[in-house]
Amino acid sequence: MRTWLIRGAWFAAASMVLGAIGYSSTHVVNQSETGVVMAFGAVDRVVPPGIHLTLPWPFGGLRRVDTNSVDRIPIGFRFIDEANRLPPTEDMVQWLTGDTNIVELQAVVLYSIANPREFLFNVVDPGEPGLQGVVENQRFVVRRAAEAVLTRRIATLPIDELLTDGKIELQIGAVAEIQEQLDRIGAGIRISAVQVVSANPPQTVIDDFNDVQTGRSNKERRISEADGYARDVLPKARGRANSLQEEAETYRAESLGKAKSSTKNFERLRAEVQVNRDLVFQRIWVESMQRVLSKVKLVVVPPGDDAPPFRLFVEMRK
Amino acid sequence: MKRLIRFLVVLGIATALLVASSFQVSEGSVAIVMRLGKPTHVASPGLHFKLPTPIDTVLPVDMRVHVLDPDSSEYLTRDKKNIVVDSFLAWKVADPQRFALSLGSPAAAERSLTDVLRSVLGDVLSSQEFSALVSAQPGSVTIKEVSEEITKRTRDRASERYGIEVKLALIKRLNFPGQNKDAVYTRMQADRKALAKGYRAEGEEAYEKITAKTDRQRAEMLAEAQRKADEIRGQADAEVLAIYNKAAEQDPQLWRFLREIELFEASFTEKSTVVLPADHELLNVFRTPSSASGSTAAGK
Repeated sequence: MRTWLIRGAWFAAASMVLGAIGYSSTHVVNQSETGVVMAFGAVDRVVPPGIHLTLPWPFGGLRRVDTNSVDRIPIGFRFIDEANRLPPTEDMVQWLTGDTNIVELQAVVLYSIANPREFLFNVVDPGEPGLQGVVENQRFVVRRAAEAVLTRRIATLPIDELLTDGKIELQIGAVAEIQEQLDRIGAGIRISAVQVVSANPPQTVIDDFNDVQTGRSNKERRISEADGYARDVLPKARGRANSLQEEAETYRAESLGKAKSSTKNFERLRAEVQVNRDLVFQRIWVESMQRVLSKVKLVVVPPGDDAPPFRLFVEMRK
Repeated sequence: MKRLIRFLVVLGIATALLVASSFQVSEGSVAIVMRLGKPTHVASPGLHFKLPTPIDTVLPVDMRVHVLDPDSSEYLTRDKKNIVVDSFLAWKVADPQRFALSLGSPAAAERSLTDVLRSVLGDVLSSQEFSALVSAQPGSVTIKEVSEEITKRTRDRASERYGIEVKLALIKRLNFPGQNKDAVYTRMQADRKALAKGYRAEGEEAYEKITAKTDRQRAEMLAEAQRKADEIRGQADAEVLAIYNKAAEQDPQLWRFLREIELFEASFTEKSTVVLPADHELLNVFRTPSSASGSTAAGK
C-alpha cells in the first residue's frame, strides 16, 4: 500500500516534469511571422513558419517577430494626438526650408522588419519621454532617422517647391537615405515608403500664401479676359474690313454698270441725232420737263412786265 | 528514505556547483570574466563555464546600439544667428573592458555622451555660417557635411575616452527660437505680399498688352481694308470717266446737254414748288390752239 502510493507520486511528478519540458520546447510560428530560436541566451537559428522544437525553459525558447506586415510611424505629428484631436506642436511639425522659411510638414514612414535577429537584439531605443508603453513609441529609431533625413533634405529646398512638386522628390529621395542611416546601426528594418501627408505654410502666414494663389489666378483671369476681348474684336474687324472691300466692289460694279447703260443710251440718241438734231434736243427737253412738272407743285402767276420770258422760280422746301 | 535524502542532498550540491561555475550571456551583450577581480577574457552570447563564483565573476555588458535623444538646445552660428538644434546619437560599446572600467553603465555613458554631443555641436555650429545648414543653392556646404563632421568629432572623442563607438550623430531638427520666428513670419508675409502684388501687376500688364495689340491689329486691318476699298473706288471712277470721255468725244454738245438735263432734274423733288408766269412757253397748252405757239416766248 505505501510502496504503491510512493510509486504513484513518483510517476505523477515525472510526468508533470516531462509535460512541462515538452510544452516549453514546442513552438508554433504563424504564417506572417519569423521565429528566432534561442539557446542559453544566444540566438541559435532563425526559422520560418511551422512547428519548431527548442531547448526547454529556462535553457531555450523562441521569439516571434511579425515580418510580413508593414507598419507606419508618424513624422511631424503623433498618432496619439491625432486620435485625441490635438494639433501637433510647432516643434514637431515645423521645418526650416532652404530659403529660410518655415514649413509645416507631416509625413508617414512605412517600414517592415527585414531582419528579425537584428531587429530584436541590435538596437535599444528608449522612445520619447512620456510616451512609454504607447505603440507608436516602439521602433522609435525609425522616426529619429527619418526626421534627420527630412530636416536635411527640406533644408535644401525652397518652400514653394515643398508646397508643390518638391514633395514627390522629397518622398522618393528620403527612402534610400533613411535606409542608409538605419543600416549603419543595423536596425533590421526596411523602409518601404515615405509619404508626405501634408505640407503647408505656418498658420500665421497662411492668408498671405493663399493671397498669392489668388493673385496668380487673378493674373490668369485678366489674361483670359484680354484674350476674350481679342477673340471678340478681331473677327468683327475682319468682317468690317471685308465688307468695306465688298462695298467698294459693289460701287465699282454699279458705277460701271451705270456708265455702260448711259453710254448705251447716249449711243442710241447719237444715232437719232444724225437724222434730226434739233428735234431730238427738243424731245429730250420736253420729256425732262414732263418728268419735273409731274412731280413738283406747280404755281402759275400772272405774267409780270418785268418778268423775263424764260424764268423759273424754284422754291426748295424741306 | 535515508537513501532518498542523501540523493537529494547530492543533487542539490551538484546543482549549486553547476550554477556557480556556469553562466549564460544573452544575445545583444557580452560578459567580461574576471578571476579574483582581474579581467581574463570576454565571453560572447551563449552558455559558458568558469570556476565557481567567488573565484571567477562575470560582468555583463550591453552591446546593443543605444539611441540617445537629448533635449534640443539653442546654438549660435558663426554669423551670429540663433538656431535651435535637436539632435540624436546612436552609440554602442566597442571595447567592453574599457567601457566597463571607465563608465560602467549605459546611463553613465549617456550622461557623458550628452555633454560630448553638446560641446561638439557648439564647436561645429559656431564654425559654420547659417547658410551652410540651410540653403537652397546647390553646391554650398550642406547640412549633410555638417552632420558628417558632427558624427566624426563625436566618434573620435567618445572612442578614445570611453571605448564607445558612435554610429550616428545627426541633426534631427532645426528651427528658430521663438523671438526670431516672428521675424521669419514677418519676412514670409512680406515676401508673399510682394509676390501677390507682382502677380496682380503682371495680370494688368498682360491685359493691357493683349488689348492694345488687339486694338492695333483692328486699326491696321480696317485701315488696310479702307485703303484697298478706296483704291477700288478710285479705279472704278477712273474707268467710268474713261467710258464717259470716250462717249463725250463723239458728240460733245449732245453729251453736255444730257448732263445738264440730268442736273436740272436732280434739282427737283416731290416737295419742290415751281412758279411759272402764265405766259410761259410751257403753259402754251392753256391757250387757244390757233395762236402761234412759241411766238410769245420767242418774242420777248
